[in-house]
Amino acid sequence: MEVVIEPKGEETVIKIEGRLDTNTARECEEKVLPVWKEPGVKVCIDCSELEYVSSAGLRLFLVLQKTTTANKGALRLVGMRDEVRETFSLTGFNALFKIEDAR
Amino acid sequence: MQKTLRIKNDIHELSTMNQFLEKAGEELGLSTAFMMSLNLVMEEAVSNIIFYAYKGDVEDAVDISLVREGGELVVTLVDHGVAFDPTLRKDPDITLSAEDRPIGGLGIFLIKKLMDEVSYQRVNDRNVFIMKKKITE
Repeated sequence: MEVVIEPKGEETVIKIEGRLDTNTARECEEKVLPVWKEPGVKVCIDCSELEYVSSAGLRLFLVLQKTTTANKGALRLVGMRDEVRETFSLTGFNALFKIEDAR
Repeated sequence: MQKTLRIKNDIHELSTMNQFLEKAGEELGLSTAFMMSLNLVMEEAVSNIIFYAYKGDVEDAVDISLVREGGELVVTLVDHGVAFDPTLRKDPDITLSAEDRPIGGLGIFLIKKLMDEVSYQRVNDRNVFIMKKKITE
């Protein structure tokens, strides 16, 4: 699992690559949460290289959505692969996020 | 053909399990899509046992078996930890908003969604959890 964080215009783009599972979700959380320190932050998570999400990964996405709401910011997920999208659909997570096809 | 693996209750054993699954999947002729689902349910089921079944370190924490029976894959997980029946766990309310959704509780739900059949038995102080899924080519 790799995380790349870069500001693009008024948004911060977080690209998460590889597997978000029991072993990696916590590490990813530590890397990305500082982005939400700034109130009203606009975040785009690039999921195009995200290959796999288990319940530990879903947990992280839910934490990020809740943090965004508390922070009065905005969050969108882009480029999600079909396999990951299926895991989101099965758990109703597709309704909790703004999911867009491409950047 | 039966594929078996015994693991310790150490979360790093999940990588050992993934390698085992990859090899077993090839030998049992399972598709990439099927393997994706299998990978997910195994991570959920086995990490639950690793995290919650035992107090101390245990060498023979989980016995994993995969069998292709007719058109089905039968996965059996056996552990000798504290009695726990995953099939009794209440499903989460997936219609709640992000604010109201509790954190966690999705692992067993994913297993039930992805597998065709799950069953649990307590036999000789062991938890026996069986998951079945139809193999579609």
